[in-house]
Amino acid sequence: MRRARQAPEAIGSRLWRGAGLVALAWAGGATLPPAVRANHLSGGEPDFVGYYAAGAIVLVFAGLIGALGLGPGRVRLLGRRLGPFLLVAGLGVLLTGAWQYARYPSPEALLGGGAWGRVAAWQIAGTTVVFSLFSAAVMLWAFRQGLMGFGEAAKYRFLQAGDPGDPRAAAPATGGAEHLVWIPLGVMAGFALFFVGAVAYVWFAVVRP
Amino acid sequence: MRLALDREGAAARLFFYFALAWLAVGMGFGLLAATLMVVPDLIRDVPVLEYFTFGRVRPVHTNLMLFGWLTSAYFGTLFYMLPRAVGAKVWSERLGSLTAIAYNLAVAGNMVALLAGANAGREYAESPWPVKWITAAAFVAVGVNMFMTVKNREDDGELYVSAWYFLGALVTTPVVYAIGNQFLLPTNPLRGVNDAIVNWFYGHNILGYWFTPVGVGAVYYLLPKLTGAPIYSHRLSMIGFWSLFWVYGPVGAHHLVNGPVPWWVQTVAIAFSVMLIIPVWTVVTNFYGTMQGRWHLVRESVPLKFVTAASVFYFVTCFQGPMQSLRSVSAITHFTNWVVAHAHIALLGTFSFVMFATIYYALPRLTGREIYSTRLMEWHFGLSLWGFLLMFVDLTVAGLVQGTSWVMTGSENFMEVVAKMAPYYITRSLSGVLLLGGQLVFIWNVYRTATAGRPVVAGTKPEPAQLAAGAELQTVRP
Repeated sequence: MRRARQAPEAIGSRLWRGAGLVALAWAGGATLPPAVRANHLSGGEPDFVGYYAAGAIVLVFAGLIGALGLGPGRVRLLGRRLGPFLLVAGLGVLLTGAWQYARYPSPEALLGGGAWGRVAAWQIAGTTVVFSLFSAAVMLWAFRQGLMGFGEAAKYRFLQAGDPGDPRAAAPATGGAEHLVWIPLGVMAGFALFFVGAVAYVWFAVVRP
Repeated sequence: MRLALDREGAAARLFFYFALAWLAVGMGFGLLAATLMVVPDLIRDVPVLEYFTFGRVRPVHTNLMLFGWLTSAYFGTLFYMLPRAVGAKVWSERLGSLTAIAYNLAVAGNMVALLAGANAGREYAESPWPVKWITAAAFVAVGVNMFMTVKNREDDGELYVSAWYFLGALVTTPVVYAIGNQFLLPTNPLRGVNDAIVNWFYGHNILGYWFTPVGVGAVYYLLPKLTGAPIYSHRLSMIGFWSLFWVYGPVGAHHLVNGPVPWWVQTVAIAFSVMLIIPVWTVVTNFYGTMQGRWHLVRESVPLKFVTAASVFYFVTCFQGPMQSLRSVSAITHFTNWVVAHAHIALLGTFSFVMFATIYYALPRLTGREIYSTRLMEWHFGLSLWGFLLMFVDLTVAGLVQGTSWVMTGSENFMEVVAKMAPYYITRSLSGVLLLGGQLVFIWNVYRTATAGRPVVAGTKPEPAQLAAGAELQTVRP
């Protein structure tokens, strides 16, 4: 009895908190001036769409990892609680970016082709709707067929079925081998820093002056 | 009467063997193209070879590497992995074998046509019209074969993620291919900017809807088999699958950023390019999660080394890609060697490395013979890895030098910049020698395996350990 009364409240408070986060993300993004832009050779058009998308990605992915319980041991519980909110916040940031972009005049609108720009926007919206509906229909069909329960059972069945795996997989762990993980991690981080650093250097040392 | 073409594994074997032949020929043309950029008059006045100008050799290299080596290897991967992933036999080995022969004859015809100067003039769609039809028919034939294989499976349970990736690729690729190849019409119906937009819709989506899903599906197949551990999270991998197929479609126009293309087309492409990071991170997370407690296996297993390197390069590709799609970054890097480096890290560093691992894994099981020489496998890995890294770093730096120089002078110093590129092109040629050498070692090892390898000792299926069949658990660490 107590549980039945608690459930609707829990859902309601979650919805309120989710809506609050979306509003917070929207307000935060909306107050960012469109001057968050990068100047470049073609005249100063902004890259802020990319920045909003990047921010949304970090929030959405962190939210996914948390909600699915995939975080490292110590933060797993925290991740499960925060995950859905981070997901919602990420979507909020994405929507904010789209709204900011819609406010920013495109070259077509500035040159007097506002009507053409609106037709183009309807085209992309229509394509997105059709494609999303198709994807949703396929997913719904797959769920009903029991092909896609998003469960974890499939990965165990796969390991046991089909061809036998590599016999070397049964080899016992040797001491110190886990440190090998730092090689690929280091390469990834190194290249990421190299790209960002190199482009930043070119911008600030060459392009801007 | 049962023909050799009907035998179990015949289609996969044929596709893999054809792929290896094109690997050698395609990389040879790549080395020739790189050398011609260092010594442009290398084959001038040499009988017959003088017709192999850079303008002909370069598309031969790209077509043989994409459609000869990688697509043949991918077809072989589908014929090997998909039936095993769904617990069924290939619906028709004979159809698969005949498809392999017809498709690779078309690849050979394409090579001859391009060397003769017949070029349709669009990136990755240079082939003559009959070759386009045979290629499209091959995709359809493989698709029908694979879908019938899945339909006839006995276990009606949930599909494993690799099966999803493979089937998704087979649904989307014929559509993408047809659109990008003049809608399979004899002449191109599009003109001007529309043509450019459709060309790059195709050019990027052949990567996103064919090369990426089959490559990632192969990684999800190989990782559990090579480590004995289930993948970290099947849910996360399925989210990666759906997000990949949803996000990839509009990104093609990032090849046309800052060009005379409608503003909103560029912006949509940029935004979706950045969002591509989500499916990539699902793969990288699953890789590191699955490898926990299993890093000692990397020391012993060359296929696992290739998969590890490919996973790293996959992340690097999809960090660099969204970054360079931004207008400000594209203004520096577009039309430079940075883009060439990026194309190679995707197709060579990532997906070719996955195919090397796949062939090393599948070949003993297809031929019933152990790999001839582990030492040659290590040489192959070393030469491929260091040859590729040398090329990638060299071309990335070269691209930054080009872009910076053009920015400083408004491209007035174009010819000076061309001359500045000489040491970078020499380095690229040297890296090509390492790479080609590694592949020749690989092909020799495969040849000796097929003809003189020791018979395989039958393996046993892994124990189910503490797991009840079909039980759902968050993590499994036996």
